[in-house]
Amino acid sequence: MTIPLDSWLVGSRGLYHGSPRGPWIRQGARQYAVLSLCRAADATYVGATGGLWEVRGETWTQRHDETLTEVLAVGLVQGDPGVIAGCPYGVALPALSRGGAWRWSFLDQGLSPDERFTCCLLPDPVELTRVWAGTEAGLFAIDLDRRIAHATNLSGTPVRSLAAAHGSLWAGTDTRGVWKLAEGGGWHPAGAGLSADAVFSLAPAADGLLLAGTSRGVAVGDGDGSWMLCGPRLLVSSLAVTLPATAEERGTWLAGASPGGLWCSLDRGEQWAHIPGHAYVRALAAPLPRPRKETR
Amino acid sequence: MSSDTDNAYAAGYEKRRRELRDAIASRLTVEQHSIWSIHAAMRAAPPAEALNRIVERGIREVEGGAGELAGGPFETLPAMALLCRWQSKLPPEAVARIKRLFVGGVQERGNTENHWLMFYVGNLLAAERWSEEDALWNGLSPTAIREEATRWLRGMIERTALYGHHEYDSTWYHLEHLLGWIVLSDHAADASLRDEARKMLDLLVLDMALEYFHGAWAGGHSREGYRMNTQTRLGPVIPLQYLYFGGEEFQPEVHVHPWAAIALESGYRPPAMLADIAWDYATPHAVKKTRAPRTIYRHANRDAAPVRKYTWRSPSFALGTTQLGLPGAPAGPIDLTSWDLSWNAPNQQGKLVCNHPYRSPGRFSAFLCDLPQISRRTIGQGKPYLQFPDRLFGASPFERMMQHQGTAIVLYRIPPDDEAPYVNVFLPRGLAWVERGRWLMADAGKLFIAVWVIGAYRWDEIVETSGNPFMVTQGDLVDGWLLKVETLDCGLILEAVESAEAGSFTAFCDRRAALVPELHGWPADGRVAVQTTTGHRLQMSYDGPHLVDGEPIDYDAWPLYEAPWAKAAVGTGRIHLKRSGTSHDLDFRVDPSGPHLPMRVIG
Repeated sequence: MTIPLDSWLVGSRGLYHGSPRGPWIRQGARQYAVLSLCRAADATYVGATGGLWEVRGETWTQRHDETLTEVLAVGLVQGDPGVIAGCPYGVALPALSRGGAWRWSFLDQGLSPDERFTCCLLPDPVELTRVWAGTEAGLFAIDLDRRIAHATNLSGTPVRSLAAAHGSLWAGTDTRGVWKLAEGGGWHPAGAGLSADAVFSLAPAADGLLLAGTSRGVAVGDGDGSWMLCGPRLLVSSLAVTLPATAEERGTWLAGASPGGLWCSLDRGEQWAHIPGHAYVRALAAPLPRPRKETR
Repeated sequence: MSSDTDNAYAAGYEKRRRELRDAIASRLTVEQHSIWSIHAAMRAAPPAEALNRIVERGIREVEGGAGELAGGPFETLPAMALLCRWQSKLPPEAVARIKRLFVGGVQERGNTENHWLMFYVGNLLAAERWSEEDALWNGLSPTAIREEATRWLRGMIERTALYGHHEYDSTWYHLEHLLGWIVLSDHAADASLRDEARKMLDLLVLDMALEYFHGAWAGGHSREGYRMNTQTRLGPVIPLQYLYFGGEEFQPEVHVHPWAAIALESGYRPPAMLADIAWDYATPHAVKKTRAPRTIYRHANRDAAPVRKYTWRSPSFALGTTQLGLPGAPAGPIDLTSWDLSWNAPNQQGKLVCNHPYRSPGRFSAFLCDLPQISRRTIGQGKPYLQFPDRLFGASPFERMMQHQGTAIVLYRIPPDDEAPYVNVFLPRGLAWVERGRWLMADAGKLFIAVWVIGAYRWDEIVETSGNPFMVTQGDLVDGWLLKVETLDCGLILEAVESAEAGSFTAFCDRRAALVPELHGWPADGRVAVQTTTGHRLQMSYDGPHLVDGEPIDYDAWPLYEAPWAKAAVGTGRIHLKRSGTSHDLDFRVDPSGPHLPMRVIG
């Protein structure tokens, strides 16, 4: 069965798709511990403890090789195969081999262990040859053409989450809350009240809001004012949000906890409902926008 | 080595092979066998129904799946080992089930070096056997799988030959390493790969032989957790040590492990000289080894340095220590044992160890990718003993040591805020300890032992069992005296001597007590020195040089192997063995300039 575009994706012990009201269906028999997800229109890339997989329909195809494992981050970039992966050993790019398998090469020259340990990736939405990499040592900007990682001023703390939202870029850190990329370049703290919190996940919500998954639940803010905590006091390791399609709708917020499983809010965080069946949810993906139908 | 000696070894080897095979076969009914152990019974032509059930039990279906078969390293290797060896005797259903695992199954690679070895050997053999399939279980062609597996296997061979084994000298996992290369050496299609596998086997058997001691494996081990490092003999590797080295009467309760059955049908037999090396400690000698750096990929600003081991094998005892090369706190590999003194004695009576039971949560996430904030709990739930306060294994970033012959100095500088502000010292119960001027000394029969504890300690006991959730009355895991050293800057000085060389125990005590360790530089200057009763002086700086008789030990120049019969330099891929006029050279023909396959596993 092909994963419907309007399905949510949950990465826990296996890849699941469905809707908050259920049912949830495990895609195939694999129960790998999923660490990251990247969703394209025709495929889903699943980063797991054992490597990287491409899921098309029911078929899981191995995309890692003998050098890529523990895929904590995966993203889409230009080129063929057009995928970038992050793991404890660094950021890596694939090339197609003669037999069709992917062979990976790493951008790890001159980096320390913490600088190589990649927790999250965000392809820059504007600069297509740049990818932001959150590592244990801080945030790096990767020049894909020159295959070089440049340190940023966001350093000295692990960066575990990245997001593009409301015209800017956002980073979640282990010891300094949420940071934002300023217009002139350079990163600075965003909002108040999370400065000492660990932020494991980020997701844009409606009305200029951003959700930040912390060790004390979901924090909601706009990056300027105070962050407000909501929901159970979980370590929120993943977030996914759909924006309201109409003025009457409120959107759907999904939060994955480690541990604590899957939680859903249909009223912008006022109430959260637990969705049984998972213990650790490290990756979530919202439904893809429906393709527009052409009209004559 | 003469052909007579070689023939004698071969005859002894065949006798031991039969003993082990018969013992495994007789312990289990056919129905009770696993896909690991059934090799021992295959010559008796088990009924097809039983073989089918054994394979079904060994390769199960995915829970909640649509009938797909599931497997990891512990299924892929034994499945292909069974098929490659015994296909003519397997019923079609069993063969079909094994094929299903590799053609349409769900497999996991694991995360340690032994896992990946078993996984890649199994998948290489499967890709060779079913080369006509369009794709195997992971959607890749058999060609792509064969190429990936071959790259990894050859890469592991090269790394091991150049820099030392990664999951080194493990009493627990050396068996898996040996079995992986055994299966490859017997069944790989590529003759050069079979040849390289045999050389790897010689190297891994050499690793055991150099530190073999009265049927046990002395010295430091990368993975000897599970609370068993105070046992005299331990680990599933014992049957292959008996098979390859002989030298003692067959004891089924000691020498038998069902997984060894795979090796009993192999065409591989090590050179006879390795067995002689294993039992030759009549003349005391030092064994030096370099092992690959530990995988520390987080909480570190530098990579780990190579591991350097020093083991002194003497007729009555073996003392081994390790320079771990760790990059600093919180790196502290959880299964590692860095040193011990061992001698031939009943269980729990032949070991002396000490350990700082480091508990920082960062030590798990230093080599595991889980979130640091939760890894202590997620790992600790599965292995609670990793956090036990009386723990006697597992590396500490605050431990340093040096050794010369039968004397070692072990020092600790534990931060005040550490969760375990103490060190545990294990002493066997069965010795009558004498205390003189802070020296604790014991007559262990053929050896005398002296221990000086640096720091304040209290005498306690330790009893730990593997079973009985209600009341611990006997310690099948650990049973002995436990000295709790409750000073942050502490340590231990130890000397072991042959009693035959030392005269009487009283004379030894007199000499030892008269030579008080020089502790005026500790802890302020981080320096300790001690004069041995055999006329040597050890000077140790905690984070500085180690001197023996005024000469610094150059760890950077440490060899890959150095022992009376083995010589190899790091980075050459060539190991020279010579004994009694017979040479056996292992040349892995590696280009040291690289590039070499990077290490991507823990262990």
